Amino acid sequence: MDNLTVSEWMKENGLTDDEVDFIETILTSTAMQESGIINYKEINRKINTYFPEKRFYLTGKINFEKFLNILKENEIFIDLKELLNRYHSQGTCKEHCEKLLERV
Amino acid sequence: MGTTKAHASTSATMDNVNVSVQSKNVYPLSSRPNNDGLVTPMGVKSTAVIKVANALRAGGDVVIDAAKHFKVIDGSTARTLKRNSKKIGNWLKKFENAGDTAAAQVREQLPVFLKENTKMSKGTAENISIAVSWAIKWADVIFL
Repeated sequence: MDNLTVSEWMKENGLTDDEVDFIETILTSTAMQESGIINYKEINRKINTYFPEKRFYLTGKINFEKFLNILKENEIFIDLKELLNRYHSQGTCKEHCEKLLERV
Repeated sequence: MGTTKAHASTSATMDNVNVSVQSKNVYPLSSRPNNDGLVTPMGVKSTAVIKVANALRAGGDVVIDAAKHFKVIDGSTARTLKRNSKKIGNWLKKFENAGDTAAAQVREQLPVFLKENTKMSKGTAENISIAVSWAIKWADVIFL
């Protein structure tokens, strides 16, 4: 693997700062679902507050397919499997990335 | 600017700490929440940034424990954040009037600050920047 951070790698793949921020916010916010304290409705409100121009509507717990669909709906084209592997290697939301990658 | 907010609260337990989760009404785009909506001559005050900055200046435990509890950061990142919490907390002060763009600005600029002022790797600097930005966005849950 190269020496790029995850966001550097995303930008090398043509993503904008806003798209990177959107993806990071999805990942860190949905990681909170595992605690049982935060539910999908809270996450919908939070993400739609910060990204009103993006399409984001979660029903229930996020999984790989749902994450992929969110990216598609927002015309964000990135290899999600590699993205999650890179976050895992870097140390952001490690367990959440593992769970998202479980059924891929 | 008088922003009206309605809250509905529910409670849950985070280990031994009681955590309340606040639900906010959906805001029209013209009045997106800026955490408290207080306009000052310097811009829109962000109580979220102020709370995160104060917590980091005080050693960072509240922010670090929350980030660990919600598994946003791993142990290695947590230790590096702890070592640099005061430095980051002081630096955050300049975003106290950045309103609802504060989290995005911090996410963009904090890696540069960490590169210039610490010896941590750029990956760790990015993890910490993601975590601090996350803490600002979710300050209503982290600080009760």
